[in-house]
Amino acid sequence: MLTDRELVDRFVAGDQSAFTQLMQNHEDRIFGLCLRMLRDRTKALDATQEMFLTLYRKADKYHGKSAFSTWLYRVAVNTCYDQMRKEKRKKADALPAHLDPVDPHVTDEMRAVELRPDIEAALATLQPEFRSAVILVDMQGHSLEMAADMLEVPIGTVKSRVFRGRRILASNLGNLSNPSATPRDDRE
Amino acid sequence: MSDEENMNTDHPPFPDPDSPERIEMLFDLAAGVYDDATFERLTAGLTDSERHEIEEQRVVHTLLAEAPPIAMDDLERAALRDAIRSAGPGRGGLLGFRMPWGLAGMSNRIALGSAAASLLVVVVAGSFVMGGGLGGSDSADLTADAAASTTMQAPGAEESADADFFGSDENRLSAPETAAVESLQSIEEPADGSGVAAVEDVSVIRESDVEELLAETPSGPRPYNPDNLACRDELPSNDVTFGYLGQWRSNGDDQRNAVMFKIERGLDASVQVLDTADCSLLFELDK
Repeated sequence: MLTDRELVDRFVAGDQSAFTQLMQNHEDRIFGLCLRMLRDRTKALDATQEMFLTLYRKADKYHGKSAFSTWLYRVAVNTCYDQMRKEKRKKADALPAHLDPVDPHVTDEMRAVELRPDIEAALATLQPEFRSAVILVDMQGHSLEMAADMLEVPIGTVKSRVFRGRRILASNLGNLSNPSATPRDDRE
Repeated sequence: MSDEENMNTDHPPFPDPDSPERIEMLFDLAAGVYDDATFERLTAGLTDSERHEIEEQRVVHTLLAEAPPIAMDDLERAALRDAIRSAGPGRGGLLGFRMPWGLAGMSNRIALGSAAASLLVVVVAGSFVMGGGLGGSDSADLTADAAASTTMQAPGAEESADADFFGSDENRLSAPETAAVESLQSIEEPADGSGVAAVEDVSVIRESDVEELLAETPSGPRPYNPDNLACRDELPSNDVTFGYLGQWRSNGDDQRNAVMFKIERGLDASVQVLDTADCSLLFELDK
C-alpha cells in the first residue's frame, strides 16, 4: 500500500487515480472535522470540496516538510475558519445580531452525527480555536504534536485550548463529575 | 481538608488559576502522562478544585473520544468525487461544473465574467494603439498603466473560472466578476474619449485606509481571488483570504501599481502590499 507521500508524488506526476486514493484515505475525517467545526452539513460538504480542490491545485506545493496528513488538516482547518468568517460577514450584512441569534440546538443538518446532541450543542458554543483543538485531539485522536503542527501553534497552546475547551464543555453540560463545583472564568 | 491544607511543596501554588504552568500540569495529569509515583507525588499537593478539574477533564475527554466517526453518505461522496473529477487535467472541465448542493446561476456569472475579461483585453489593446504604443510620448506612463491594467483584469477572467471551482464562496465569486464588469464599463466610457484615460479609474488603495481592511467586514476595493493575482507566490501561506489590486498611494504620496493581500490566521490578520513590478514589499500592517 502506498503512503500518502507516494500518492502525492504520483498525482503530481499525472496519475489521477492517486488523487482518488488520497481522497479515500482522508475524506471522511476531513468531512467530520468540517461538520463539527461548521455544524452544517451543506457547509461542511462545501468546505470539504474546497479543501480537496485546493489540494488538487496545490499538491505540487507540498514539499514533505511535515506529514502529509498534517498539511492536509492544516488546509482543512483554515478552510473551515474561512467559512466561519464568511458566515460571520454574511450575518453582519444580513441582519442585526439580535435578530439572528445562534441556535444552540442541534439541527437536521447535523443528521448522522451520532454524538449526544447535548454534547454537539455544547461543542458549538466553543470559540473556533478551542473547538478545532478539542475536535482534533479529543475526537479525532491526533497527538498534541500533530495538532500543534496542524493548527500552527505551540504544543502548550494546544494543551491550553483543549483544557479550556473541555472545561467549558463540562460547565455547559452540567458539571459532569461534581455538581457542586464552582463555575470558572474561561477567558483565554 | 481545605485547599490550603492540601498544598505541598512539590510545586509552588499557582496564584493565577489560568496560568499556563498550572493548566499544563493539570492537562498532563488528566492525560496520564506520568508514572504512578510521579502522579501520586504531584496529585498529593493538589487542591480539591484541582482534583475536580482533572476528573472533569477525563470525563469530557472520554465522552468526546467515544463519539462515533462521521462519514459522508453515498450521495455526498459521489458528489464530491464528481466535483473533483470535473476539475480534471488542465481544469478544462470546470466551466460546466455545478455543485450539486446548490449554486444556482453560477454559469451565468462565469459567462459574464469571461465575456467581460475578453472584451477588456480588446479594449485595452485598442487603447494601447491609440496611446502610441511604447513610444516616448507623454502617454508612455499611462500606456504602461494600461498594460498593468491588462494584467490586473486578467485575473478576473481566471477568477470567473475558478468561481465554479470554489463553488461555495459566493462572496468571492461575485466580487471579482463585478469588479471586472465595472472596470470594463469605465474603460468603455473614458472621460476624454481616449481609451487610456479610464485606466485611472482602477481602484486606489491608500495607506491610510489599510487598517479598515483588517476589519471583519472590510469595505473598500473589491477583492479578487488572491490565487490569481501577481506576486501571490511570494506568500506561501494558505491563509491568504483576499487579494486586492490597484494603485497604491502611501502616506508619503508614493504611487505604485500594487497587489494587496489580506492574511488571516486564526483570529490574527495582516495586510501586505506588494509592488506588481517586482513583488517587493511596499507596506505591511498586522492586527
